[in-house]
Amino acid sequence: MTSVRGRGGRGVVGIAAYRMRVIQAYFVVHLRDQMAYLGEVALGGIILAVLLFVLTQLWQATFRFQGADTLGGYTLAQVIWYLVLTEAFITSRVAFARKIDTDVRTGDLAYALVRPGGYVSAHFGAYLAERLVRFAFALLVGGVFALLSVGPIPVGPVPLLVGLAASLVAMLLDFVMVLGIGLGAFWIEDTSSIYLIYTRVSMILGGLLIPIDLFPDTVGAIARALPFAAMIHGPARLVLSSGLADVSGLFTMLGGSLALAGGLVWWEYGVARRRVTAQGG
Amino acid sequence: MATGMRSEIAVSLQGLSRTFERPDLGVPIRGLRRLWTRRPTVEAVALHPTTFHVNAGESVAFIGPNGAGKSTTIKILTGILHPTAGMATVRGHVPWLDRDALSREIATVFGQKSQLWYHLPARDSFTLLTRIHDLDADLARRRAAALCERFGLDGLLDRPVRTLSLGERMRCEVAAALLHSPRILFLDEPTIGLDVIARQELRSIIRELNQRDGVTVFLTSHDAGDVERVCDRAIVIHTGRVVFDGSIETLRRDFVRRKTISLELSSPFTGESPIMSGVVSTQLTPMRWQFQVDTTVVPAETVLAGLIGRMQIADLTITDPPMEDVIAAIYGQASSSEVVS
Repeated sequence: MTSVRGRGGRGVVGIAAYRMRVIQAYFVVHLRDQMAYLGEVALGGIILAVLLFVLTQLWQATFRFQGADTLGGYTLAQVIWYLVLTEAFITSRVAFARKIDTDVRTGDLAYALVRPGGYVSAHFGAYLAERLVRFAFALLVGGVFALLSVGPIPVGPVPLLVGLAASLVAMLLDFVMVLGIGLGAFWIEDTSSIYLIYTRVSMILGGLLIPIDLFPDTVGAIARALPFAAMIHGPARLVLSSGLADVSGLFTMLGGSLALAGGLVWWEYGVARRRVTAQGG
Repeated sequence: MATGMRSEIAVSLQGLSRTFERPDLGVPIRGLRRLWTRRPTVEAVALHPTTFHVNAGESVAFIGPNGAGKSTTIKILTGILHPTAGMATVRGHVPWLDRDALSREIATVFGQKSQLWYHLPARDSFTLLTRIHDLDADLARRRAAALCERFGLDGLLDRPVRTLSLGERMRCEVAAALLHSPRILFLDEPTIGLDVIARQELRSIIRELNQRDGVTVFLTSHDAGDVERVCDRAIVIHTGRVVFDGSIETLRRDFVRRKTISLELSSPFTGESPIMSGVVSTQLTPMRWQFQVDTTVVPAETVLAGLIGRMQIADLTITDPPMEDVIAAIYGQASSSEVVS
């Protein structure tokens, strides 16, 4: 039998490179998997278009009622484009906490852990593939809708690119948080309620429907102190701004939150692995 | 213990045990006290201290009823679970300490857990497994081609896994598990749900891997055919203890102490049915008789000697009980800590 054994460990850099190759492999496979569900993704696009239509009507009525051209520094067109960006982030979410929850409950986690490459790497590759496909599609649908309803707005290429980069970091943070929630199945009966609270709180305090700048001062201060605003409002605000004034604060908040959440989930994962119990006989 | 060494012993367990704590549901905690009262726990033994060795190239059936400790043992040996006490090595690696290195040397096939992606062609899963095992792409491609030819997978790899029959999928599962040339194959109920033909195909594939390639096979199954046709040795576990460790022949001969004597007569037997303690006789036709002998009561030789004097025998066969009966007896047996062989 011809030996095709693995090429083995090559220090920290080699292991990191190996993990990246594994994530890339999962990413590619799940990207193809997503192609099998293009109809589902398209359906999500239709729902997004309906949602944006309703929100646009509400914002148009608000601007009319206020009799103002701008609210909190935003024109109507900017608010609609803001909604496109925040909705794209939210609707592209991947609820893989349920999958982890099921893995823990059914004992499948034990079988997944025995595979080389790592359980987290596998989920991350799959998450990125699914999320990026949905995000791109939501941006496409939302962009077409915004163009047709309020027309284009001036956007600088640098804020656009930096804003998208911030969105990627925010997705990484979201992945870590959802992973942490899913692993909670080792201690609590059902993590879906925790996930529901996480999504709702992040939607409200993240500025999904209303930019944080329009929040009352106290609520706005609370929202800015939490990572959700940096995940949802921050990148959208950056794309619509003319410069990079808030960029360091945004990335500091995202990076700090990522480090904190990453550390906690790393510890949680270590404890969870030791709690894996045998099921079946 | 040093890890990474090569040894003729493929799998070794020394006093390996595992216990779990579970809530004591017999202690009632009522009302709001449930909010702050921690329920006491009781210790449940999944695996009593267990010792056995499997040599490289052996084909071993690890059998026992549900809840016997098979799954716990396999999970410890594949690095999924930590034991509570004792030591185990697989190809020289301590599984729970050296999981990554171990994963390059072993493969696991679980009949009820697919490692292929349901909506994708199996070929994509092969590509993914090439990456996660960090294999050289060219060698892995050649290896995949060889496995495809050997397992008759031509035309299957490009179809989404969801469109394959269970038998086709299991052939793909085994091929995928062998992509990295493992030296030990752990199989957990590999033929469950398969039809007769698919079961036979899979058994012959596993048997061939063991005999031709020298891959050590460690199989758990409730199917007597799997045990008989794939394995040379059986380890029987019951309530977390090894109750038998020996060859399949010994298991069949000694675990159920019963033999069947079948006689073809040259002339019809007209006398009274032979009555002996520990023997149940059945006349199948005027010329054919069958005797079930409980060898703990009377040796088969004694019964046979008695029959030869009374009947005109043209042909006779003495058979051990079928493996189905042996396994049924094991599963129905009360717990015992005695190792039979």
